[in-house]
Parts: sequence; C-alpha cells; structure tokens
Amino acid sequence: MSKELRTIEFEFKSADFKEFPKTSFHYGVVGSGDMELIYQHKDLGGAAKMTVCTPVTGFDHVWKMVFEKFITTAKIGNVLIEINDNNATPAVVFLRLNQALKEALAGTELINSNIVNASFLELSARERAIGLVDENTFTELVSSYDKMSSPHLPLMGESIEFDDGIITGVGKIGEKTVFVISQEGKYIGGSLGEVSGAKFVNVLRLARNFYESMLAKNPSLPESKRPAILISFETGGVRLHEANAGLLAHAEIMNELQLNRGKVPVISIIGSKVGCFGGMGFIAAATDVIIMSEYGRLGLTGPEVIEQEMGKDEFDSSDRALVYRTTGGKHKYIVGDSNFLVENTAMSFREALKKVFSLDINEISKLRRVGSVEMIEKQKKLVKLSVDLQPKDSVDVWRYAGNENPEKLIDLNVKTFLETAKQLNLK
Amino acid sequence: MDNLLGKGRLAIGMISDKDSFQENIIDGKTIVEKDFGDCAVVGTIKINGIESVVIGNDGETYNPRFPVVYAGIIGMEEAYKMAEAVYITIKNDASKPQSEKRPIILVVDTPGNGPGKQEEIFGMNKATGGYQLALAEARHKGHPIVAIVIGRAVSGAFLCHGLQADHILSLDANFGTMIHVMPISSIARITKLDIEKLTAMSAANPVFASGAKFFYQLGGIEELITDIDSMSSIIAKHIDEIRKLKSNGEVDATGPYARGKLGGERKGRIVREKIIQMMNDQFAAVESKYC
Repeated sequence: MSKELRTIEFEFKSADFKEFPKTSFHYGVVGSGDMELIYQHKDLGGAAKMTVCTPVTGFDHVWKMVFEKFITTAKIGNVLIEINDNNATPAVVFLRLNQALKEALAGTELINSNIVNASFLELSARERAIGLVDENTFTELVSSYDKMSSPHLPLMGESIEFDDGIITGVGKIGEKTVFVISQEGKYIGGSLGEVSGAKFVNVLRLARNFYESMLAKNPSLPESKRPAILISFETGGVRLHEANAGLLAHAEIMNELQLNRGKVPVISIIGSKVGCFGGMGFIAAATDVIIMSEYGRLGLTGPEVIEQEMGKDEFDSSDRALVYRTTGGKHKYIVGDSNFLVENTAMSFREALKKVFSLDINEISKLRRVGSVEMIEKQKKLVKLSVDLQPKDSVDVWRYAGNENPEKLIDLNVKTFLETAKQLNLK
Repeated sequence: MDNLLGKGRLAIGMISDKDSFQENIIDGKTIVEKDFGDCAVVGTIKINGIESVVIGNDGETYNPRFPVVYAGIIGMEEAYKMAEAVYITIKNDASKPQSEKRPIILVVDTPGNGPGKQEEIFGMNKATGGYQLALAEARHKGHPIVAIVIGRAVSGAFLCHGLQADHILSLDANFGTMIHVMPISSIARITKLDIEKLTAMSAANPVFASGAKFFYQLGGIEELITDIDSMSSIIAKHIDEIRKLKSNGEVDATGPYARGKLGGERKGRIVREKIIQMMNDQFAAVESKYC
C-alpha cells in the first residue's frame, strides 16, 4: 500500500459564535490512532478554520462532518485549529477537539504539582519535562508552536508532530539551572531523526556554553548553582525513516557528552514505557548518572531481536517478566548499571536528583560506568563473570551477588527491595 | 580484487608499511590478554612511515565465549579491547605535544553489536558507549583519528567503530561497501512502507537510503576512495589535514559536529542548522532568568 501525507482544510461559521481568546494552545500527542492540535486566535470574520495533516485518504467528508458538528456545538469563531493526525477515528477527533477546547478556555497549564505524584510511566514527554523541574520554571525551547517537524516524513506518508517527538528546554531545581531533554515514546517510538537529533545535540551544547559563560563571570561559582542536564529517555534509538541523519546525530550526542564531562553533569532518567534501547542505550551508558524506576528498561538490543538471533528457547520475547528481569530497573540496579532505583513518580526521581546535586562534580563522575581505563577494567570483570557464570537468567546473577532467595526480589516493592537486595560487588 | 568484506586483517596489511603491523602491541608492550575479543584486531602499524595505532574488525573468526559474536560483530570483549587500546595510546602520548600525538586508524568492517542475552544482562550498551567515549577523548586530546570503511559499516556498530573519527573515508560502492542502519527491505517491513516506493525514493533521498554515496551527501563521510591502492596515501593525507585543522586546539573543526555542518553544506541535512540557530536565539532571550 502506498501512503501519502496531505493537508486538508475546512472553514465553517457558527451562527452565534464566541470569539476565541487571543492565545495559542497546544494539546495531545501524535500517537497511533491519535492526534495533536493547536488552537490559535485568528481573525477570520467569525469563522473557524481547521487544517488537518493526515495520512488518511477517502474520509474528507467525515472530517468535514466532525468539524462542523464540533463548531456548531462549541460555538467558537475567529480560531484556527491545526491538527497533525495519525489515523484518529472520528470519535477520537471529536473528543480531542472538546478536551483541548475546555483546557484552552480554562487557561489550563501543565503544572508540576499535578504531575509529580502521578505514575511516571504514563506521563507524556512534556509532562515529564515539567514535572522534573520546579513549578513555573520550565521554558520550552523550539516548542510545538515553532512547528519544526520532520521535513522527511511527509515524503514517506508518515504523520508529523510539531515537536518531532522531543521536548527540549530549561528550568530550575532550587538554585540550579537544569537543561531538559524528554523523549515521547508514543510518537514513532521516541525515535531520533534529523530534527529531534539537532534539538538533542544543541541542548547539550547550550548547557556547556551556559556553564562556561557563568564560570567566566564568576570562577568561584558554587557547585549548587552550576547547571546540569537531565535526559528523560523513551526511545528505541534511530528513526528508520531518516536513519542516516538519526545515526549521525547519535555520534554528535556522544561527542558532546565527552565534552561536557567534568563540567556539566548529565543525568539519565529512565522510567517510561518504551525504555531506552538501540543507539540511545549507548548514550545513556555514557552519561554520568542513571536513575531508573522498576518499570524503566535499559539495553541495546530489543527482546524480539534477541529471540530472532538466539531462538525462543533461549529468549522468549513474549515473556514480559523475563524481559523486565533482563533489562529492567531492578536488575540494572543490582549490577550497578543504574545508580538509583526509585518509585514510579516524578517526585521520587526528583529526590534522587537532590542526592546527586548534593555531590560535587568529581564525586558525580565517580558514579559513571565507563569513561576511563580504570572503569573499563572494572567492566571487564563483569564480562568475565558472564563467561564463568553463563547465567540462564538475570536471577542467577542476583544469586551470585549474594541474594539468597533472588526470585523473591522480583515482586518486592521498591522500598523493601532497596532494604533487601544486595548489589553485585566484584573484587 | 572485488572487495575486502570480512578481510579486516588483509586491509590492515594493505594500508600499513611492509611488515610494520605488530598485533596486540603498543610501544613494545603487549596490551591484550590471550583469548579476549577475538573479532577485534588492535596493534601498531606504520602508514607511509607514520607510526599509528590501528583498530579493526576480524570477519573471519568468531568469539568462542559469546555465541552471537562472529563475522566482525563487536561484542562486549571486543569493545572493551578496542577502548583499552585507545586509552593506552592517550596515556602513552600524554606528555607529547599535539603535533606528535599518534594517529589512530579505524579499519571498519562490522555488521553489528552483540545481540544476545548475556550481552543484555551484563550491559553491551556500556561496552560500546565506553569505546565511543574513549575515541572522543582521544580526538579532543589531539590524536588524529581516521576511519576507513572497507566493508560493512552497519548501524550501532558503525556508531561505535567509525563515527567518532575526525575524518571518515570509505571505499566506494564498487568494492561492495555497505553503509546503512538497515537494508531497505527491513526498513520497508518495519515502517510498513511500500518497498518499491522506498527504493524509488532512496535514489534521490540521502536521509534513509543505504550506501556510502548517501552518507557522503549527509556529511557522514569526508572522502570516497575509488582506487584501492591509494588507501594508505589518502589516509596519510587526512592525518596531515586533521593535524592542521586541530592545531589550535579546535575540537569542532573535525569529528561528528563538523560532519553535521558538512551535511548542511552538501544539502543532505536540511534543517539542522536552522534548529540550532532557533534554539540559541530563544535561549538568549530568556537566559537572564536562569543566571
């Protein structure tokens, strides 16, 4: 089947319309079967106009019907509604238009206090970015309103998103300036293309330039005021539709990570649905600190590919428990790949961040896994253990680490797990 | 000769001065323990008289301890072995002026990273991430790093072994070189895009298509090599160029960031520069709030 991305437009005037307020409002994520939209005031002689960028063909009359029904009931005018659609059904479209309008008219903003105690696993990239920093401190840079979506995907008939699946910005945690990158797994698996790659790379540079200019002004700037970078991962790595550009962006990111060492600490936050895999698994491994929830997953190769390579007897990718035991937060904490294991809330991630920020940059560097010949010597002991132990399952490693009934760790809540579990300590 | 696929050792022999390759040895010292990282080759060579450290893949063997590591795949042992060769080079040259830091030559022919269960349990991602950091550090410290693709440069393995170089060279497609994240057939399967359409598009669109030519257009490759006998002289030329570009301690004149700019100049990456500028401008407008 050949696909095509196209834009359709509708205009409709409600008899007794109310003027849309003079603001812009963004809502939603272009997940599969879903859409995002921006409401924006525009002088249209009282009419409402909708533009829809969609891969769907043959349903223009349905879009028109839904739009007219919505405007008739909502009675709004002088408004432009821009939609990026990914096969949303008419019911979903109607629902999203109404939800977004309600929030736009109420002036609802995403605020930290509504987010910090919600399930981190369920949060969107934007909610995570806002939830990880202090209330009302987040400024999004190159946001949805800038509409810097992928120029490549339309050629392939693939839905676009105004932020290209990545939220970039800056906020504060206490007196510390924190640069934030947050990936949206619902949009093409959180994958990295040319646009999202450039946004990612430039945040790392911006943070370093900011650090250097602050230090130039005040060489004795206390550690507590020096900037840091947070990356909330939710990605499988390179976006295949723009694979070459995505791959080159990964190399740029690694280069920036090395340049930031000893200057701006980079902290990985992993607790979202897609996990952190592919080339992004390398990136996370190369950051200073990794914080995971038990639902976070970190690795290189996804479960399906391992099964394909080794056979179902060795690795059954449909066994979710096995998948979590192999790459999940608890295992990564036991082997030392994750520095912290936290509860499934932004608040818990923030508490771990506070511990990190109480350390100076040299102490933070000691939390790294790789980045020096000494660290590599240490990692080689793990590789030797792999050869000697030939574990069938991560649980074998947990037992080796000194956990007497390792299977019991699987179901423990985080608090009890942290009190009970022994981490691997190779001499 | 049709191609050098799988023949990393032969390629190392071809680019180095006669009998100059000393496997596993840097500065006269053996740096690798026995039976470790079989699919990676490290050592010292001379190229046109320039002493260099070489790191390559061996596609003709397998790692007996890791069943998914064969045919040039980079496994955990391989990546750590490669990283150690880099760190030892940095250390041994630490007191030398920048103009005398030894070149590191990456001979690239790798189809992937170890995709196994042990690899995930113990963290393959750290091994390859660690190797990339080592190369980036060596590059920033002044070592000229030249990668030359002689066979397969596939996805994460190319990220790991190649894309951190100052300059990347590749034998052109006549030598069977393969540079891609995935072949078009797999991209079609995963993206559910029509394979005929993808194939037709790939002729004009460098952003996803497979092949050295397209990477060149995206700025991912500095030079394509058409004459296999000129490999060593072209590498030597690039070592010289890199030294000049880095002589004032400039870290953005070569390497991944410079290739990002090159991708813009060659019209392969079309929005990268615009986004960088936009973000810088937007931050400048709010910066005082965050000082």
